Amino acid sequence: MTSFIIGIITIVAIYCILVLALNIRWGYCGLLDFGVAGFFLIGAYTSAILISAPSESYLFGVRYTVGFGLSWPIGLIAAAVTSGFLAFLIGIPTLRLRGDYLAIVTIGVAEILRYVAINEKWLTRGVQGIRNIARPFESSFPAASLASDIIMLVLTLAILTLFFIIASRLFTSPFGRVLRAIREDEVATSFLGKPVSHFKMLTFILGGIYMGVAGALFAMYVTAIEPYQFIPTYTFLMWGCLIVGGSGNNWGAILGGALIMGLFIQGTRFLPSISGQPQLIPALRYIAVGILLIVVLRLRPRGLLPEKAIKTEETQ
Amino acid sequence: MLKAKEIVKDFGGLRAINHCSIEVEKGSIVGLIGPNGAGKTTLFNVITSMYKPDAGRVTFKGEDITGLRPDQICQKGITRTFQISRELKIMTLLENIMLGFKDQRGEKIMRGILNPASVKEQERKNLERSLEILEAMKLYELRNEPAAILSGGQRKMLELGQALATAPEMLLLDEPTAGAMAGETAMVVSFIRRMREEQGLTFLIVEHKMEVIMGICDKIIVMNYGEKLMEGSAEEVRQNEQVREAYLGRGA
Amino acid sequence: MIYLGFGIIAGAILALPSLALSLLCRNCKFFNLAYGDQMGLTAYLVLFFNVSLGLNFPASVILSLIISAILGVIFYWVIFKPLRRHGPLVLLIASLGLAFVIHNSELAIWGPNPQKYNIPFETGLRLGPFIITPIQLVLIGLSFALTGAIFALLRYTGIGRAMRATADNLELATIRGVDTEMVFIWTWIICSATAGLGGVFLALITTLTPWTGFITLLFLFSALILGGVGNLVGALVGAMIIGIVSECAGILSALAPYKIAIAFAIMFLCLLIRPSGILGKERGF
Repeated sequence: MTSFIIGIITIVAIYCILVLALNIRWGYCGLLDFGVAGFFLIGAYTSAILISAPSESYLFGVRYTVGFGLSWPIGLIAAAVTSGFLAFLIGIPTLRLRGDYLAIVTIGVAEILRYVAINEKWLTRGVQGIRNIARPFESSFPAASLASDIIMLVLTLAILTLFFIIASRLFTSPFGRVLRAIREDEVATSFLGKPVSHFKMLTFILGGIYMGVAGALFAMYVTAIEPYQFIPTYTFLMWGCLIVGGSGNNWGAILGGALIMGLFIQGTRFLPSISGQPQLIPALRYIAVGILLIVVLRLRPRGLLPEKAIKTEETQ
Repeated sequence: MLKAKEIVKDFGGLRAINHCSIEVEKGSIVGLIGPNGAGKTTLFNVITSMYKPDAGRVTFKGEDITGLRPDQICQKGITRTFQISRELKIMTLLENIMLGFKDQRGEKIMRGILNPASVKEQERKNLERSLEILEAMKLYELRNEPAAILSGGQRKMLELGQALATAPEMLLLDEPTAGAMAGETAMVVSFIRRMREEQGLTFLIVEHKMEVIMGICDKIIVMNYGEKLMEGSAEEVRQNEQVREAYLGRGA
Repeated sequence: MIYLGFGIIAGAILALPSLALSLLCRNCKFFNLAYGDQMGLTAYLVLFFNVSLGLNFPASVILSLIISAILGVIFYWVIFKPLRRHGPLVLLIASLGLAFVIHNSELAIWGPNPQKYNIPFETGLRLGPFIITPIQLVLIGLSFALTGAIFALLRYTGIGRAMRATADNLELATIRGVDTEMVFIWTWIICSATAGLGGVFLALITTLTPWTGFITLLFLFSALILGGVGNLVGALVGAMIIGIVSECAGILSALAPYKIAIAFAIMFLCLLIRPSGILGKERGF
């Protein structure tokens, strides 16, 4: 039972990192990212490929080994680097255009990455996915044990806290001030001497780093990943969390993540599944989230926890 | 200081600016007038790089600034305001002003996160200066309110304050008294005079209110149909036949 | 050579929906991410009438198109009209939400497996290396006719002129007395019904799953951006190019599953080099 609860908190925390990242991109800077699942995927697969034990694979009929058995910090860092780099690549043409374009491009890139994961079996083992991903300190604490779950939880919460602190400090800093200005009126901000594209790119990359690390944590938590875990549904759920919780507010991001991913998704896991229609309950859950999103947008667009107004401190 | 040479700007089939050249000397206050549609705001937009000119060059202090990004032009020392002021409504007045300062160390992402003493120090200095500016603009009481609550004239004053925060060498003001009541107009006028005297700022101002233009400008440039009609002192402009014709029926 | 043919057919299938999507986006000033799923939903409605209720195919299609048009108006009234004041980005998010709801509804009701219609088997006519069934011919013909009809509508009718005026400048149009509300409603009616037809066509030629709509959406947006957002002829041109190039990529079997990636790569390059697209104006909408 304990292990179960620890597991739920861990996975919810991982998704909260994603929502936090989305808040940095959309909540602070107004960047429309519909490809969260893609950055999540690239982080997960990068770390999985680097961490998992060497195993056989075939490329054009030639035997090949995949998996380098490296340690988990390398997995985390590599995930951050690839995901951040992906953000950079996507950002070059799209950040100087209108926000809608970024939305479309990110959707597409996320899906294409998923296709790559499915089809490039030599790298990703295709639909079967990568298994037996080592958890941190696995030699001392085997994956199935309570100790390992606790380690995972502690690691995830530590990273979540660190990311949260970084995000909060950024929000109140002059950097954050420029982001909020860009979000409201890019043109006016530009005429005040701020290089807008530069700021957008940095924000986008930072979001990418967060998402990549979340992916790496995910891979280690579930110890086996496959492409279906990265369908656009998850991008959409992250948006649901952010909008409901309150975009522009980091606590709102956490709240939204906890409410929707925790209470709603995990909580309704226990409804009996209707025989012959295994898709029904999950689909109904997602429909409910979709409707909730639209309702919130209409009735309380700022979400549960609205953005905090900044009061600049004055010393008399 | 500022030279625009032979500027041409077309929009689709329409020629908005037709081989227009103007010059603004350092430390002067120059007015730009003309009937609606003469191309005044378009010229502003070309100079500050909202649009790229189809022909012609813009130089500032001898340096060619044609086609630079708007933020680069601001960094070079030219700041502009807008006809319909573009203050950031959700942010407080204080934040609006603090945004304007150049070279803020806290705007670098790493320093923003770490918030070292150097950033805190600069923020404090900028804060003091912002409060001074707000005081000068008679907006001090509202400093922590979101800019959305301001009246038309107050928004113009905020925009001027923001422009001042960027520490410009030259200010391009697009109808700074539009929508302002009489008292506010006087404030803007005295502000412009003071800035020129105290800080040596150069001004290029688009205006429709004749008494404002005639009152403070050293030189007035008149545009019509995208061309420079004439330029001269207030007296010369007042006497000029062509200028009278251009404004005929449009009120002055 | 065969691939070129497939490409032309793919382009033809994409053309009409691209055109309609371009019209919708231009009139309503935002990218409607639920459009692909509107296509899919109508295809599923046809499935319902045709297979579950046993109606004949043409009747099913007509009924479904009508329902699709009505649904489009409902979506407009309930979701997009009230959110308009928040701007195009919020509308985009809402359309994503709608797409999500539609997708999962299809999944919940019909499940993930590919579906087929109940139509009598027809022998196809041979045209060189291709076999085309009469139904497909009818649909191709209908697509051409509707494409022409849309252009004619915009050019020659009152509502068409009203649409162009509203798309160019909403405030001006309102001042001049154009009934912009009717413009929006008719836009949604026409574009939703057209989406429906496109969806049916797709379901006939390829498979119908809850993912069909979403995947098509990606192709459509590639076509739109390539041709130039806001330009209707550009949408058609973009659709043909995307169709041909992505099918021809199938020549290299390693690339076959990546047709959509190819379409996207084209779009990405386009954004890099010439964001306004082949025929687009400088500023998008």
